[in-house]
Amino acid sequence: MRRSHRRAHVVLVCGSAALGTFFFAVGWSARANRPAPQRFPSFAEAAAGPDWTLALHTPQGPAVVSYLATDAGGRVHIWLPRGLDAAEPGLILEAGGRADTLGSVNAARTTLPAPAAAVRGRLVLADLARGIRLADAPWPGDPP
Amino acid sequence: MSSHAYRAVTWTPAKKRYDLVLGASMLTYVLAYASASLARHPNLTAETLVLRTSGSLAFVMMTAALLAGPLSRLSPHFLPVMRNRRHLGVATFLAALVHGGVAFFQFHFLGVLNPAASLLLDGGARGAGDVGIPFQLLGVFVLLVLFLMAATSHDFWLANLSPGAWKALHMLAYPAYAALLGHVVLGALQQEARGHEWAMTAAAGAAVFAAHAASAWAGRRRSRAGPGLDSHGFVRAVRVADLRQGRGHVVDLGASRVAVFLHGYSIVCVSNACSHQMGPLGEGEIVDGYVTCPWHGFQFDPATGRAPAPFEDCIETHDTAARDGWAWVRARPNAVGAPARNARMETAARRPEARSQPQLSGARAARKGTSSGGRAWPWQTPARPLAAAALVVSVAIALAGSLGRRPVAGGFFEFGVVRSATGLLVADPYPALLVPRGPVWSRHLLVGQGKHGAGALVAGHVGSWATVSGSLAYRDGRAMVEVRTVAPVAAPPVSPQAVAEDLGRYAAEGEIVGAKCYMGVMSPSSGIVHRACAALCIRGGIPPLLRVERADGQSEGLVLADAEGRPLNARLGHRAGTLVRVIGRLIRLDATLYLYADPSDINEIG
Repeated sequence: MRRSHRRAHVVLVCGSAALGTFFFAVGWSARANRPAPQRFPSFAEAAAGPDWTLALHTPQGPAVVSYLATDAGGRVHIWLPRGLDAAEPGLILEAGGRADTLGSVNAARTTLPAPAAAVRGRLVLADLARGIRLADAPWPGDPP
Repeated sequence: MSSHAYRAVTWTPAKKRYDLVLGASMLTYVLAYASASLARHPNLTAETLVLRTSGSLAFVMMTAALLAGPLSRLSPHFLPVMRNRRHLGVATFLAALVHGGVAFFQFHFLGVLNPAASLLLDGGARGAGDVGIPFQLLGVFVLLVLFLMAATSHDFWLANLSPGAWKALHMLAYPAYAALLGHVVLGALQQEARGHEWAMTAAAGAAVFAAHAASAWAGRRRSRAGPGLDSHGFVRAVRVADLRQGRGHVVDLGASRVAVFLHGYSIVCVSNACSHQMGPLGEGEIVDGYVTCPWHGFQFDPATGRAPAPFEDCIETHDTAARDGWAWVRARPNAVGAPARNARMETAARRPEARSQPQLSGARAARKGTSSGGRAWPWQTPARPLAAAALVVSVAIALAGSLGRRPVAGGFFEFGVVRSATGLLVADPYPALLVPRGPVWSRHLLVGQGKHGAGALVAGHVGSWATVSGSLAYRDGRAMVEVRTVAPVAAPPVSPQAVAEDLGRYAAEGEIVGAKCYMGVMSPSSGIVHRACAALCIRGGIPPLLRVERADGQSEGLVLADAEGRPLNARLGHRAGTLVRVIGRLIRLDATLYLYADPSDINEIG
């Protein structure tokens, strides 16, 4: 291989290595800086205020609320996780850390329409001061 | 110019062994990658499996092809890989062609744009990736280079283009590999890839560069010719004591390199570049009296530079002299084919003898890659350890590459299965079929074939009852229909009560995707690699969705419409695949959630 070919070879290899490194750095930077989409419960502030928190406790431990929305009247609509029985004893929903104010799902059982053991339930916090009312509604996405 | 006729491929036992190992390694990789991917990601659709398997295979093979050259210079154990590297290169092109062809069809055909325009414009989305670099075009460049290299890999092109031009063309492999790195890291690795995949990709690129650097560094140890010429045009090359019988010694003359051999009682010197593919003759040996290239076994008479008959290849020779314990070579090469005047030594037999094969038949055998028996040359030795290593490495890379990816959520598409249902056709704002289920409606979004909405199929029937046939895609309990036919029917006397509930003001962040792929026609159905498809789908009338993450880690698709409940296809097609924050009103139509938002309230984030 003549000197001109060798030089071209060196330039190509080194240039390609630099270009590959550039691509890698740009790609890694884009990946690291990509914003993660927020999850549903972070949008409760419209009805509940910035310091309002929501926690769901089951006998097996903490659980997350699957879906949350606010309606025009300021009510907070909450869908329980799929597979969680709303009638399960010991199920407690806390808002702002004050379980005594909101009561628990158990306390709201009497308001459940039959069948009470609906796996999918939507909780409506009609009045934060008085407690929880459990409405009859399908889980989002489920066929009627 | 060679005198023999060309054949497409001159199959020899050595080539058959090489291709057997190559094919077995590829098959092993494909099986390992595909089975591991399906086991870990059962939601993957077939075309995604093909894309991932063929794409990663092409990347691994191109890395191996670029490693073969420098590794074979560092160690003769890798010469078997080098010997038929063009087969590896052509196979790499085929794997890349499968990847590129399936991706081109899957993401850019059957839409409202010309596929070529879609490829250039990323389906009419923003025209570039998240970082402004269109990763797909990098892949197109790689495929074009691989095609050029594969198409010209035959000796016919090598001879007709000239070795220099041929070599220059094939050195495009380096920028192509850089583009391949860009294609991978700006595309596939931007989604569902974990850290170890980034590490594997970086390691591959670093290995290619490091091997070339190490090879070059090792090459610097070769002799440099002494300064200046003597009065006869000779330059001092190498100590005679450093020459070994039959083994080459590379000497850098500055403008070129030569290979100096101690051949019997003579010191001979030829150009270091083989006329075939510019292989390093100085790293070869003299076999059967011929200087033999370590790469492909091409042979040349050290006295004249001519290849043995019937071949007509020729390399340059240089006159040699011996003075003061040094071998000297004339800087100017001899006329092509002219016999060289070589120095003769008196006691050359003290060195080990060169290898030998049956005269001429062995030379031809080496030239054609057919060992005729007897001792085999190092580059003809069946490299069983290498073959075993290729299989093991194939499995290891396939498993590491497939098992580490993040889980893929998706639906299911009943491809080829046609069902029918009767109900009320609506278009509020996108075509849907409301099927009565007891006291309520079951709402199914309707889409057309390919990347088209169902607007044209239901036109004239909206508000009427009809029997719709087509294929179902379903996800999370919702079903969508890819419509084939719409047949009007009479309305029943009683219909369920429609449910439309305003759930209030709502804000959400997520990615704009097309409903068809999201529901199960493709999986994954989001991210940069799917952007072109989503853009074409939305532009073609398929409902746009806002893919949001639920607190349980699963995703949810909210159908997007404007504040008045009208379609947003024309406003969102170019924003497909981007992350946006949407503020609007959450509307529940039967069991389907719609997000009504003014386009000014749909803003990109990040």
